[in-house]
Amino acid sequence: MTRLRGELLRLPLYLAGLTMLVPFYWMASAAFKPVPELTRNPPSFVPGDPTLDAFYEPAWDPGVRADQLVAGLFQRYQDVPGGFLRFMGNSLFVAAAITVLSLLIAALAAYALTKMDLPGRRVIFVVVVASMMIPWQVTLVPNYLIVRNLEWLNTYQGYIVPALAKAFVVFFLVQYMRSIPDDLVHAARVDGAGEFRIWWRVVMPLMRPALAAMAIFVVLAEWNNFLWPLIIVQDDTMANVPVALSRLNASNAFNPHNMAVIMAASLLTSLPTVIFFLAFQKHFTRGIALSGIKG
Amino acid sequence: MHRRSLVAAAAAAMLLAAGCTTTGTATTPQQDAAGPAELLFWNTGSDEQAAAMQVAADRYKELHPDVTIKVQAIAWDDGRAKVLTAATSRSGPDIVSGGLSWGIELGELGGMIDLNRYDVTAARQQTRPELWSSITSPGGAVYGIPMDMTLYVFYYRPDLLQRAGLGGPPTTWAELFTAVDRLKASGVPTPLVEEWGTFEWLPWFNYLKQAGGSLYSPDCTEVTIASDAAVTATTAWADQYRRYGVPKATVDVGAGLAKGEYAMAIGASYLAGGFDSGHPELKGKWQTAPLPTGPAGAGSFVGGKIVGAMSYTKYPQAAADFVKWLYTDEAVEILQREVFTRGGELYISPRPELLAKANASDNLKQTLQATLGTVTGPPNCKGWETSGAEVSKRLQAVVNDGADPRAALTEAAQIMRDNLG
Repeated sequence: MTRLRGELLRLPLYLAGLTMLVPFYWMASAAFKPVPELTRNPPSFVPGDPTLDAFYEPAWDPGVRADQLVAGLFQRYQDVPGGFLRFMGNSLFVAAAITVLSLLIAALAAYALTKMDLPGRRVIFVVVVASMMIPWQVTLVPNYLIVRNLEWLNTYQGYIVPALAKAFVVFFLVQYMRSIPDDLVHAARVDGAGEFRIWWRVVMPLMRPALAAMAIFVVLAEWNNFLWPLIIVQDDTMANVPVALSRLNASNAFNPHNMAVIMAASLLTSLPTVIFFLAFQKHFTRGIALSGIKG
Repeated sequence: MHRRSLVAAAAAAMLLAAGCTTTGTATTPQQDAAGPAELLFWNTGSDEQAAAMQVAADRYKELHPDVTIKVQAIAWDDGRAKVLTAATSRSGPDIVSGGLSWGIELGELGGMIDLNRYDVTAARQQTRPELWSSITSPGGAVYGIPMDMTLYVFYYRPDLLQRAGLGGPPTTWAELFTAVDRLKASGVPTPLVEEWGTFEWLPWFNYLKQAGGSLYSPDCTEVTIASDAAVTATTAWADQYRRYGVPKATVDVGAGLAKGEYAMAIGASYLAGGFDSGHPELKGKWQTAPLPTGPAGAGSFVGGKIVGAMSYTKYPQAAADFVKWLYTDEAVEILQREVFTRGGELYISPRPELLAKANASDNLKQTLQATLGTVTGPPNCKGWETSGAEVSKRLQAVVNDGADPRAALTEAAQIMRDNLG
């Protein structure tokens, strides 16, 4: 009885959760709709005749005009080796590289700020936190000019290096690292371990929940990053998924039949982040809760 | 996306300004590099348009084996930001196409070559003067020549008009608003919609021209937006939303016409390509006409794209030659065919006499031909690119906040004056 009452009390939350899923469902169902069904009015909520045409349309011929046919997602970007998968690969590589490297750098910084007798560490920490108040758009121009002068436009290092210093991650990890007893670090020092060894062998294993929580934040942000890639990428082969989606959207402005292709691309784009979140959501919530308590 | 694009464009504009301060003024194009030229062409628009342009570029290579051109699509939403940053970094494409006003904006910042050096007399003679003046800087420079045109078209459902007791499409403002009332009475929920710059300055500009107004004096020395004609135009434009139920949000014109929710639409010529393919049930049920006239007669905005060469290209001569070749009969024919075949879109060449060969119905061709005689392009005056959005806000205040049209236009005029420098 008590359980039933609890479920009933949670019902509004379930309904609210359902509303969050509706756009995702709409995207997924539209990706499998045949072209004529896409523009049906009123729209169908379940594909009447599911098809993979949005991914690959066997009847499409670029030299023949056909009202109901558009190139499937994997038939586009023929001048890019790998086509859309190349964009996904770029996004995956860049997001993974930035996540791993920025977390390592931030964890090193957090260790120095919490476990080492660093002169002026309070001031350094205040400066790091203060930098979070500067909108990232403000740094866009100087970053761009630096990258240009380094001749890193249209390169992976141009994508990755400017994104490695993340003040919020440092702040978050500092809060978490303060909860790790200093005695552990002192004991390791007494045993003769160097600072780097202590950081890697003693502190980092205890940081897993916080690192996982931050990894989700960073991966999502970098996977969805649009503006920076837009301005530094000059060749299609270096584009990431959001930039590619933006181009697909341009095609849709002229022909609504491209909507299924956009939905197919959006579906493929969102799946990795959804899977990543589902796999690490326990760490995510725990990390948030812990940082909230310790903050 | 729209907000993102605005941020991107603003950042890019700052970048170009910053880039110019760090690199000094743009250098003049170097001499043509010897040997084969490999050119990268950023074509603003859809993937299908880029693919069509690639066919033209491949044909050009057959005629000029030393010149290879790779065409890459960039989206309208963020194309300006990309081109601005390319100009800043002095690396990127050799040729770009983009909005009609991009050429002057980029060129004045040192990002594009003045094509006058490469003799574009033939192109100028083949282009409508109203369009050519839009892409010519106040100083006479031509940083990009027109590549295609987008015109405003009045779309309508003859059957719905007939059912409402209307003999044909409205030809004047008075007839337009009467038609709205009668269609509403006959059961059409939203008789009139607007597309292409919905609820922004673009469709208002049509009213402005039809009322006999202008944004600037012809020599760009004065701002003329706060005139009596502009007040008349603004009042009529605002009445669409305030009294006649025109939606302020962007709508799907094809879907609305197909369902009978809309009976009339003022929209871009590119919409025509998607009606039959996107909404087969609409086939044969829609027609077009020129825009209704105002107190001063007919008038319509012409948009489209320019194409030009970047100032840092190693191959200015080769780039300029290709840009000029796009005006030839052969190039236009390829683009008309390929743009239609690949995307179902209508390609309107800046050469009016070639309109007859476009893939469009006779009715649409007649409409476009009639409209061509009444067009005005975007102003070529300094600061318009940044003033446009502010002007839109002042116009929207007339509808949203009940602001007095003259006061709103006076405010807009001040902003335009400040940006004019």
